[in-house]
Amino acid sequence: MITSNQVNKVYRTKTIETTALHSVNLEIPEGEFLSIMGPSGRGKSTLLNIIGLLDAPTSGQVQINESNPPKYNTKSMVKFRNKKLGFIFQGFHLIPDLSVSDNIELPLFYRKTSSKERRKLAEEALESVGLKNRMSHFPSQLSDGQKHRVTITRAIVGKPQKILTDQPTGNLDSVMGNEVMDILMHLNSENNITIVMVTHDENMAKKTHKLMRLYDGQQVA
Amino acid sequence: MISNYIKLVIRALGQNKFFTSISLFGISFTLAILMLIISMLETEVDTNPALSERDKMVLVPNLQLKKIFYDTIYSYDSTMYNGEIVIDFRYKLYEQGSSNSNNELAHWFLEEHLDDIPNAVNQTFFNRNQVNNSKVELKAVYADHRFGEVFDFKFIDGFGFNETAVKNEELVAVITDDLADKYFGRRDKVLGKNIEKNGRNYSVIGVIKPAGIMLLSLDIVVPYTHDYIDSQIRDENSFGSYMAMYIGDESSDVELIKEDIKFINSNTEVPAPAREYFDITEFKPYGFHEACAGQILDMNNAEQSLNIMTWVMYALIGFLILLPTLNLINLNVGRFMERNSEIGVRKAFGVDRTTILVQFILENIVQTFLGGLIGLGLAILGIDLINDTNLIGDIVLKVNYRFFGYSLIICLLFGLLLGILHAYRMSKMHIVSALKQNKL
Ligand SMILES: Nc1ncnc2c1ncn2[C@@H]1O[C@H](COP(=O)(O)OP(=O)(O)OP(=O)(O)O)[C@@H](O)[C@H]1O
Ligand SMILES: [Mg+2]
Repeated sequence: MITSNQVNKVYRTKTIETTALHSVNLEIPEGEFLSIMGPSGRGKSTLLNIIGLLDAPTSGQVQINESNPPKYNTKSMVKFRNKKLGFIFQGFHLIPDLSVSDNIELPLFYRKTSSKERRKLAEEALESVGLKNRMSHFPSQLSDGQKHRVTITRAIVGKPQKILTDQPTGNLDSVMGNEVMDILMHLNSENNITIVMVTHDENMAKKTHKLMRLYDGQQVA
Repeated sequence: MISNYIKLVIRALGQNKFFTSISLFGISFTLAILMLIISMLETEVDTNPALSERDKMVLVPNLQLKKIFYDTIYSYDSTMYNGEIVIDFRYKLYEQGSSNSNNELAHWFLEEHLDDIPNAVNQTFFNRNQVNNSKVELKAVYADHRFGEVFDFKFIDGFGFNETAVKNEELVAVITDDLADKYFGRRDKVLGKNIEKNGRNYSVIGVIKPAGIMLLSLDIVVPYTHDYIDSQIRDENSFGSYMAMYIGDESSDVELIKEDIKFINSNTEVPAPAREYFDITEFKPYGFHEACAGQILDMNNAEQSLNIMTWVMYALIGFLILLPTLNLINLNVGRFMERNSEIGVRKAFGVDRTTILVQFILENIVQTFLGGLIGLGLAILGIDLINDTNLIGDIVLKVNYRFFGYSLIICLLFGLLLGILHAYRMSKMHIVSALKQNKL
């Protein structure tokens, strides 16, 4: 369960103050697939980052699994993120210096999983997205569709409870987009993983359990 | 765990081949060049023919007479000019202070007080002065016959003068091949030719290679017995133009010789005629390196001069290492910028600040270390090549491993500092902004 209580996010620069989120209240039960929609620049990524504990709200609270509100930038927060959350970013953010399997093993690496175990889990995860034969390639040697699948694999390899994803089908054609969507839906239904997905695609959003719209940092539906 | 890091680091370095090779090239090339320079410097001093015994040498370069006054000071000085001593009695009046006169020593003074040093196996008294000859300007040395024993000049032709020649005031001279070239227009077959100095004709009996250091910078050496003014007339003046160089059996004798001289000094009174003006006599012994440093900076403070020179040397080498290091820092900064996204991702997936710190620092260290090893390889290859091809004559260069060690440590320290600096900045960076900065 993820809850947010009166979450505000204000970005201040020297000249301008942007209210990216305004009093957002959310309740995402275990196993739910929520999609967030809204025009560009209206705070979707900001909200996702705050739910994912990557960023602190200016005011208000985020709670995950009914634990106390987390302290940012602490070791326990880092550990929590590593174990319970998986991220698929807007853009791939693969590490160019590492091979596909090393990229995927990243969350396991910081969990101090043995290298044998890491390799096995990465192999399994890659197999499930049909990329087992690309394990020792480097990101620059992959197509964009393949990169997408690698980023999804990286998010799921550690078997997180919740996956947060920012426009996972953003720059894919409809076939590829559907493929990615199928993977996510499968993870959600089979493994009961909670998924929060930001998207611009109504068709994708329709496939999820619940849709939330953000307009100028405010929930409108 | 540490092996995991190392693997990660090697993989990262291996992947970014372009950057890694530039950076390795920078470190290794600089180290190699530095090692070559050091090797040449060392060889230069090492095989310098006049000074192969320099580690056993002790120099007494000057004499100081002192008096503490309360209201008046007498100053008393002498200088050597054109082979003549010019004595300068000037009477100065100060409110109060100390009087201090400082110059090289008279030959008679050396003979009387400093001729018998128990721990020295050999010694020579010599002076250096400028002579304006009709044909060329000469740097002349008046010396005893042991000058050529203490300083093993490399003779191209002929010999030095012996004790008899000195005693009999023979008109003989040893000259450098450079002077031979200037004076006679040739470097060989000049033995027996005459060279004019202070209106007398000296016959050339030996030709030497210049020693190439300031202390022994000279064109011509003649018996000191020709130096009537300074060496033979025992006037009341204990100042002159001479200095004394002693040599021990081995380098550990240097300290003993110094002790001998200090002991003699403590028992030497101010010569009678000067007692009116001074009450302290001081002649200090210096090791060879101290003397060299003192020649360049300040003879009265030779020990301090050596310290200063040593630090200047370190600073220079440090500077040489610093330049390419700055370049590396520059490259590194660029590279770290590119890696913002990596930091963001790693942080999102559960890396804590310490781990990031360790990773980036290790990357830097491994890189510097590899660079150092390659540099050593290059230097050894270069030195072998120079030795094999006789590129700089028949000098044989050696690899200075100790210097290599020091440089590597400096490089590692720089690498570490650099790593810590950047890693710290990286680890502090906010995840979301790190992720925003670039995307692959
Ligand atoms: N670090 C920041 N400093 C200042 N303003 C920011 C910062 N990050 C985001 N903003 C502003 O906050 C608002 C919301 O940004 P956000 O990235 O959440 O939009 P978004 O809904 O994800 O847009 P898109 O659909 O284009 O990805 C924007 O107006 C943006 O300019
Ligand atoms: Mg966005």
